[in-house]
Amino acid sequence: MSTLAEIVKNILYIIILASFLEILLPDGGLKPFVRFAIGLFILISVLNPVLSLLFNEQQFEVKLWDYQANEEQSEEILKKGRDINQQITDGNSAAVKEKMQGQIASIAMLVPGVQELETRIDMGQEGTFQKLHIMVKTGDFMQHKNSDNPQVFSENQSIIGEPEKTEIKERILGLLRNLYGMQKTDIEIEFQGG
Amino acid sequence: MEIPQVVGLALLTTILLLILRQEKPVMAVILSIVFSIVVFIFMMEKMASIIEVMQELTHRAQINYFFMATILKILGVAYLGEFAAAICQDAGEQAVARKVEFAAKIIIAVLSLPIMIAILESMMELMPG
Repeated sequence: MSTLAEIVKNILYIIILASFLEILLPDGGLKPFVRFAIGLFILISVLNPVLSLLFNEQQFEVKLWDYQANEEQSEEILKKGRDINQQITDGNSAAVKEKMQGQIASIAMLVPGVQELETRIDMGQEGTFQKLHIMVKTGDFMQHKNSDNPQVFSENQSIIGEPEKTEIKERILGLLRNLYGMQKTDIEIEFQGG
Repeated sequence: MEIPQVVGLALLTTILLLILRQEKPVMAVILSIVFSIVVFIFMMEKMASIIEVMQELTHRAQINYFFMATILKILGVAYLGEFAAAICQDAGEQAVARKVEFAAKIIIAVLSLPIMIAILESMMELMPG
């Protein structure tokens, strides 16, 4: 029944097409010739589906090379696939991001003079690493520098100068570069309070 | 180019042709050819949109596009043939106009042959034995 409906629908399209072609016919001596050709075209267009219905009734299973997917349906399926993919990527990215932030924060805390720090990783659309932001709160840099057993979590807060900040920055960058292979341009280090 | 422009250009060309045909008949033929070419070129854009609609309809009707392309070629041949024949007739060359029409008819017949053969094959399938 659906095949018949399909044929009727196609014939409808052919009728519209034929009417359209009729308008385009040139006036003059060539008109009957063009009319004849259009007639043949209509005949073959109507005959083809009817013949395929009559002689290929038992071959209606969808073959790969005959398969004509509905474009709208395919688009919908692809959209759903993309959404699922995005959800998986987002979920994984969030987990990876959280763990990385924690790891980097723990490692960077080992740098003398760093009292506290916050890390934030920017991930790309496909879950790729883009940029690392580190906010450093400094402790007593000199105390850590001079001590034989460095105290990681120092309670002593003192204002440190620009050279010390640069040294802390360089040490953090070196550490992250060696451990994670990150480039200098990928890391942005800021100090709390400027 | 819309219909007012075509009409305007046609009227202007007709007036010029009336003048030129008596003074310089060769120039009149050239002007007629130029007018035909100008109209044809400006209508090409509109023809393209018609062809687009036809392609879409062919796709929806699941017709082999080869047949549609053949019909479009036939229409093109017919229009060009008519144009050329009309120009030749304007120039008073009836014999040349007939030859152009003859050539167009043959080309149309040749182009329709594959469709005719396809129909014949389909008919043969219908025949028993």
